Amino acid sequence: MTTFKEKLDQELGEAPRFTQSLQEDILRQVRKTKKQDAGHIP
Amino acid sequence: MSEHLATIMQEHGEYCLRVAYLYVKDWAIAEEIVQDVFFSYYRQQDRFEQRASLKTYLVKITVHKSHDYLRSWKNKRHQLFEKLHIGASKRTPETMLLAQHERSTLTNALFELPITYREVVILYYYQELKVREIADILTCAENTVKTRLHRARKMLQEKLVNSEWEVLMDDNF
Repeated sequence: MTTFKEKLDQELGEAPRFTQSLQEDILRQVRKTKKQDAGHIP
Repeated sequence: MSEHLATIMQEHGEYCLRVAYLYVKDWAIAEEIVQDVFFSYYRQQDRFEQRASLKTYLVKITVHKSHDYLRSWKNKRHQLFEKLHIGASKRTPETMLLAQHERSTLTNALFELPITYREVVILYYYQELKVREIADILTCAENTVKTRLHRARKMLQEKLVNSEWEVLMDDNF
């Protein structure tokens, strides 16, 4: 029997939505903040 | 740290994004929420106590950020715009038939539930979390989660045809 999760994933689309570019955007944001934080250290 | 975060995102990014979408019903906004989730995790990872699994912790942040969005003015504006847009579109027999078909899908039936009921279904049936974990995420009693699950199943049963209802047979919460 199909599970709820399988059925919903079929409807939402099985292909990954969390893309490499989204991941890179987040990492860029993190690195930027890291640099800003480092700049504030006296 | 970036490598650590990249590994975590590879493992947990997809389901966090899907959970956020099932709350806000918009992929672009869900992406913004997930960016915020991992950014918060990076900034406050010392808050993560190993008592809970990382999955539960990240789902908890996703749920809280999604709630923040649903309460926001940004969302209210978005909903108003959607209503105006739908109201302006023509209702033809074809569009009405299409709308009827859309209502019968599991996703659409889920989106018709009030968020209080929708979220317990997402967390229990989709994320396959335990009632205890859901109670912790939503900061409510386990019995409250069970009651909401019972009511949500009843509401979904009314909306779904038999073949689609089968996926919700598990009621041993």
